[in-house]
Amino acid sequence: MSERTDGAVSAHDAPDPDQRLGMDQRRTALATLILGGLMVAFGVVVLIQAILLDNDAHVVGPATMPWVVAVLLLVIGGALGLSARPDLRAWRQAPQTSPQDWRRAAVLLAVLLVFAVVVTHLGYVVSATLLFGTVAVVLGAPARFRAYVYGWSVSVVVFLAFDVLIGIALPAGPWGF
Amino acid sequence: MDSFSMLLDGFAAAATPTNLLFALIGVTIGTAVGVLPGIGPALTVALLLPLTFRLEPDAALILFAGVYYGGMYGGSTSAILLRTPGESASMVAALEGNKMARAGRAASALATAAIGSFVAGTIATILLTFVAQPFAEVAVKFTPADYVALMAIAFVTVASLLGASPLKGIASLVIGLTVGLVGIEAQSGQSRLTFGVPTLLDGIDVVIVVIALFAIGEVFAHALRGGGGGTVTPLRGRAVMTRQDWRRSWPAWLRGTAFGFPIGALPAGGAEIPTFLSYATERRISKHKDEFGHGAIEGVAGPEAANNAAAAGVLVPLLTIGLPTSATAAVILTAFQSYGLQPGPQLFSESGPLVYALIASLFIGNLMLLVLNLPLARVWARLLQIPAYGIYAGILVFATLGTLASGGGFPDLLLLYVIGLLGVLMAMADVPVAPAVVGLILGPLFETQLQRTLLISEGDLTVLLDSTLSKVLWAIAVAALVLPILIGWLRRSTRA
Repeated sequence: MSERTDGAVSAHDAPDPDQRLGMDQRRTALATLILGGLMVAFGVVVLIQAILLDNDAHVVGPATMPWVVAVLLLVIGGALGLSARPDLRAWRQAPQTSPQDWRRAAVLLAVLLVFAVVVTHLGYVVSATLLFGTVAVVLGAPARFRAYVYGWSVSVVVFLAFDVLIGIALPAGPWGF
Repeated sequence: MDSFSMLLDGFAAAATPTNLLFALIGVTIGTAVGVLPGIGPALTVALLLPLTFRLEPDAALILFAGVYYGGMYGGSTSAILLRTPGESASMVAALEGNKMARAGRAASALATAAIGSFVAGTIATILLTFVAQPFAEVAVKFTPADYVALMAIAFVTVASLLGASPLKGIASLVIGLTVGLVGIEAQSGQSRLTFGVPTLLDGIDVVIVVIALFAIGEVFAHALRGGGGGTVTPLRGRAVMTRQDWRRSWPAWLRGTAFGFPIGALPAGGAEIPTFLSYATERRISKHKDEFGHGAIEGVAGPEAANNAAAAGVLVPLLTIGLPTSATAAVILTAFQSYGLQPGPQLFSESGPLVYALIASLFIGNLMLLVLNLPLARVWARLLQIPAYGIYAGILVFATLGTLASGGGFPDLLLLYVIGLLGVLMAMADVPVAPAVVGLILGPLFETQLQRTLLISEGDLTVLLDSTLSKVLWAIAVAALVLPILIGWLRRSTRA
């Protein structure tokens, strides 16, 4: 574990392998804990579903697999959560994950949602251009305009290959592409 | 008709201009995605699955097989030059090959990887040709109970062998099984886990799950890791090997093939284990032990050959019993299903010409890959110059494209994002996604076979252990589940 306590140096510009490792492990432990929790929660949902289903007096019927899966979700999810706990305690003092990373991920998600909304209205080429360009900029493309130009080229090639050449219909906007 | 004349017919079918073109497109795309970090063959085949609506079965399957083999070749290029394996089976090449590259011997490393892949791929495809049909003839006699046991083995081994810890692999498998439950249950028509959402009634499309877990998960994990990329070791000179390189490489290629094909062909296979076994063996018997860890050519030649031989081996259980043991194989299985074909013993009798055209295309594809990779190694290496933001923006464009092309709209895109976020969490928790894909595809098949078994026996559960084969298979499944956990536990307690 890293002994470094000054939060001034972020892991991005300090290639200190120990610190990098520390952050990764703490994050892994936290994610494992959350995943375990989710699995247990879903285990309850699947369990309720299994109870609601009717096996029609068969030994194995539609409810059997849900029963098995529910038990597995509860047991494995629980074990996963428990396995993460000791790691998590050790990393509590480790440097925090940079909020900048989370902001970047949130913007990515927002861009994807906007794409899903506009793609049927603006057509594939325009929407995919916006998607590519914005994601590239968020992930650190140095030139904004050029990122959108690249995005436009990719979308046009994709549209020509899939829609025109192969004949798999992609959403067309008011202008037909 | 015997395998050999069927194969000749297969060559005639695969060598039409159209099919040659699809093979060439397949291996080119495969090499490209293998080289690029973050995109693997499983994701690429999933993205191309919508093509099955438009293409003839032989054209589509030849294309997918090309992507599959090409991914194995390309993966070693990025492993050697970037030290980031394009896919997990190239992990060992990343260790030893990158050391060679840093010592200025990138060209030799790439050459031994490419020629070794060709030698191993060709030998393994020959073995596949002559093993598959006899095996399918044996497999015809399998009872539904035997299938249940076989799938249990596949579940256990895929979950406990791929990834960092058996627990995380099993967690991934269970997640896949859960997603596989969604939709209308085939026998009774009752809906499961649909929560009244109409989109969910048909179940969750495999394409969406694969794209979400591999692509969306990868992009977000990259963003959360703070972006950035690795350092590319420049490639100087042509990909050639000295006489000494040859002398040290060829026994390693053959030994790698000997590990790769049989282990890949087991219903417990995968490509990771033979590569590690091959590396360990080369290291033990080498006359140049001191070079290992600093760039020994045997350490690239053996594992890369093992990797490709295993890729061909994985096709044996896939084609003959319909059992996928890797994520890519699972997605290829879906491609068969979308044509109404079910891989399994009947496939050889019902669609023999198609299967042999596919196998013939593997020979052709291997030759194309050797030609594509040896003289053009520098062109592929240039792909690594594409900045990370461009690659990841492209992945998102293609991810949404895959969903839209398979007829999806707004609800399907939302589903893609939700499962994608699950994929992010799994990536951050170091949980492998391949077992989830296998669980999703095998889970419903397992349920069907189980119901069929118990329908015949009128609910008598002992039928599951009736045949000798079933007993043996269940014993293997239990051993494969318990042993890794036991070994891990022992290792931890001796260290403490």
